[in-house]
Amino acid sequence: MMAMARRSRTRRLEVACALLLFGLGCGDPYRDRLLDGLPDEDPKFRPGELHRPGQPCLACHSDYGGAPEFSLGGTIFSGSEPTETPSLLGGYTVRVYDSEGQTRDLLSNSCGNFYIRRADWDPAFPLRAELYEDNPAKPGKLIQVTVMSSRIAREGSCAGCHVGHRSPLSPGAVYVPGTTPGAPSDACPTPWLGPDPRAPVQGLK
Amino acid sequence: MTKRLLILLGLAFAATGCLEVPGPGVGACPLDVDTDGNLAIASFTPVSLVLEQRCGSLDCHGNLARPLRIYGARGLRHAPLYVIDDKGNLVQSPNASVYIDPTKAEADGSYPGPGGSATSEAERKETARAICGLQPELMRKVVLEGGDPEKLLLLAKPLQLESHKGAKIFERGSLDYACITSWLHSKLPEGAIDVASCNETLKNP
Repeated sequence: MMAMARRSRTRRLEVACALLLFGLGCGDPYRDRLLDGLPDEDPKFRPGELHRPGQPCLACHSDYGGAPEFSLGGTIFSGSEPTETPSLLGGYTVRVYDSEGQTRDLLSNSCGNFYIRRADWDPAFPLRAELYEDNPAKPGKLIQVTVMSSRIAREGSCAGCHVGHRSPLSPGAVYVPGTTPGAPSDACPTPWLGPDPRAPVQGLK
Repeated sequence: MTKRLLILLGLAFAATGCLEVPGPGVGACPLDVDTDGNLAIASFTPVSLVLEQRCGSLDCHGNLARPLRIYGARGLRHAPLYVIDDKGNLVQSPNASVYIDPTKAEADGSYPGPGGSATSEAERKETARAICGLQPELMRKVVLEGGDPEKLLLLAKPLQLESHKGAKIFERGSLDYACITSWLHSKLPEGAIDVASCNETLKNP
């Protein structure tokens, strides 16, 4: 009887240890740190296409984050230089070419956000990205504004690289040259421009 | 008797320790100097451009968190890092610490992408150093003794002979391959960098 009880206790301990190890082994410290560094959801905006402008979309919209999976996502800002109060720019088209020659046009919404779900397109990296605006003289036609100077090798979040102010580590957020920042709007959440540039550089200790 | 023996042994070790003073270049990156002892960075330039384009985007090896860091005009920039001193001032750090200064980056153009300054000699040197520092002993064998370059992670990863998150980047026998392998064997008798292959690679991004 005693021996059976001991075996049962040992079995329970083994199961508890296995669960603990399983739990510890499942986390991804890099992604956890990324998620921990993002601000809380603005309570005035439900999670949806207008929320969290400026943040790295695929931190959550991935197989790790739990939100519907995206292939690509980002935010467009007005102005040519980083400002204290960046404003969000809708109506611009990001044209993406993948390595197999497929193309998709992603239109920025009223809060500057654009994205495409992985179920709709799973592009072959590396990608090329171009930015277009509507041609006022020819409705339905687009004018090229700028072309991204490097390839997107594998990062689906624009804000994965275009984070914060321009620095040796980042080209800065995606601003449309020649546009004037507007007044902050209540129709959109406050955009996030990345961590404090004086925060310690990740990867160096 | 034992004491005398110990003293003798101690003196012998001290003497032999003084005899083997490493000369200049011993243990250094074998690719860092050319046959005349000059910095070989100028000849590395065409290879560096290929590595910048193929491997050095900000979402791959243009990242401080990676052991193989590729610096370049459109990726990671090599810029002074700063610390905040005890008076709260931002001062340049002599070594690894850990703040960037966006204002200074704005002033000297040391940010990635359009408008940023061209890849500097210091950046190429850092890239070469990162490549050599990854597998220093094997690198010496390949460079100085004509060893198999595919044993190096520098080629094994992009050829996907080893697991590589960025997948296969180029094929054996491609222009990229010819460019990089010619560089690795350029110090052998009759070795020379295949500049034509390097330049041709850049035309096909």
